[in-house]
Amino acid sequence: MLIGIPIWQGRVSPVFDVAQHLAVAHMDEKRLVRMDELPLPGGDPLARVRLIEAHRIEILLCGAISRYLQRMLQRSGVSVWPCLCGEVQHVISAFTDNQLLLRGLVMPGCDGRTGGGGCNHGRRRQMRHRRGQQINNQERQQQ
Amino acid sequence: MTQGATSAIQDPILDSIADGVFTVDKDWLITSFNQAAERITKVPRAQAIGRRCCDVFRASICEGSCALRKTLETAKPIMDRTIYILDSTGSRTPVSISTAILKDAQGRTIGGVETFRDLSLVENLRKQLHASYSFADIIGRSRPMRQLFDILPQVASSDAAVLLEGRSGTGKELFAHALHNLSARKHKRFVAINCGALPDSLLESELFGYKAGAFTDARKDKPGRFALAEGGTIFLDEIADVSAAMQSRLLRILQERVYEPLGGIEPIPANVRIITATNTDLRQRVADGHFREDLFYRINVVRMVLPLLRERREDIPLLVEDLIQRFNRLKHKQIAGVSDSAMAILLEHEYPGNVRELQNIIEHAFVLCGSGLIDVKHLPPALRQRAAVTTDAATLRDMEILMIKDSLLKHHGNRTAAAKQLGIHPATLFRKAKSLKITLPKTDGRQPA
Repeated sequence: MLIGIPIWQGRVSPVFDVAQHLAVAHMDEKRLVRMDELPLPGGDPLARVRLIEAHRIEILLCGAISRYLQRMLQRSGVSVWPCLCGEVQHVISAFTDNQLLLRGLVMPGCDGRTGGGGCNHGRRRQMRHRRGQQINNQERQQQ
Repeated sequence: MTQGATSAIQDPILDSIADGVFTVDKDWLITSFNQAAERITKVPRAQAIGRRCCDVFRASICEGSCALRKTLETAKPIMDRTIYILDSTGSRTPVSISTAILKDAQGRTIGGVETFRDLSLVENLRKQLHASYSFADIIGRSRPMRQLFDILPQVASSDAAVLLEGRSGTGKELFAHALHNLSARKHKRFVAINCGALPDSLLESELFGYKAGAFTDARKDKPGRFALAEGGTIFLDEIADVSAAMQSRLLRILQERVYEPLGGIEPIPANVRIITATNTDLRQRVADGHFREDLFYRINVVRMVLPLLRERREDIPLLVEDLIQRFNRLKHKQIAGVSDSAMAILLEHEYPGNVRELQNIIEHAFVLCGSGLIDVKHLPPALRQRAAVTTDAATLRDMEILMIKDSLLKHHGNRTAAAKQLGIHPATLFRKAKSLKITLPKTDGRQPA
């Protein structure tokens, strides 16, 4: 599985729309196998979406992202986890452990309690889905 | 921690300011955050304090060209820079920011301060203003343009054939597009073809298509423009240039609503709205015997005459502003506008090429002007020379001609109003027009042209 994270000074870029580099984490289940870095095209949002599609990135962990860009990515089949902040390594490990909220890696004002809600659109559903998948896997292993 | 906790307490002075204000320490952590900042960013103060400013502010410049970083590095404040920030829902808010250094009582730098103003309201007002002088991407608030805007929706919804008359560069295709976009056919295609650019045989196959075997190289069927525009609109530009044979074929489509592709034997029904355009006087072409009268009446159900740019000079500043905004976006530049002297030249020019010529002039200026205002030196040489002639070498007689012509134009040919503006009696205006050999306009400005 490939996870993309816009990177700036080792941390998640604050705004994906203008981020200049993308870290690509090659994951084997929960283990980080390799990390590459790609330059992101400037200006055209469609070029960003195409690059992510071309590299077959399935999940994008990012900071703030404009609504239309998020929709474009989601339409391309990319699962977008917006409003994240902090060091990229920490974000990846918290994501795989389902502990993004617990470890305080969510941008201020985006925790779902402030009425914004946009950042958490689908996040709880995605988390429930991931948890469900994990339970199913465990059950299968036990069988 | 103590400092953060202290800053988290409401500061009445900062909270009384309508603009958003936040301060950061040298590690870019937020130390104070006022009420307006909470409102604009939609981030509660308690969550903002102690966090990195880029994670709270989420501005378009945080990563590439942070204004606060620049101020701290150069010790120079930045004023009124327009950027956008993203809130938690992914909505963009345009803001104007200013930055300054924050010093302690001993004059040592302890961080920076950023103030920001929400420009959403300004932006909305600007959009409303733009909407008040534009219609379906066509710019103008002059009387002839407003008259056209008034009838455009009714003409669009009528589905009648429209003849657009206007000189080159007056925006005939733009109007045709607007008619299509405002009509019930807007979800189908708009197909434009320049009839004057193609020889007769090619125009026939382009418009009606051909069947396989119709001629040597026709290996398979090719749909024509009428087939492509099925259910939509076809725009036939330079209709006056089509041959007599083609005129009769077009007449059949308009009368019977069917056409036959080249080599075809079955007539194909055509559900297409036809908009035609010409830059010549089509009625005169009919009188001269160059254009079929029956076809003229078929395409001339609704006739719209597009004004020359020199007949609507008051639209020039609006058009210039719109073109500058468009080229700024296209060429990634930050041209602020046009200097007064350059605008004076642009307003005086005769524009034989109409809006297209103005567009070329601004594009030329964009090549030479890096930033700031477009000045006289950035305009095309021909325009600069003509301006020099009119300003330096004009005689009193020339000036009188210029002023009378300008005044008559401004008042749409109304002689009394023009004379009043010039401060002379209408009789004097007529006498001067006669002696200076000025041809008075056909319209008198009291009735619509």
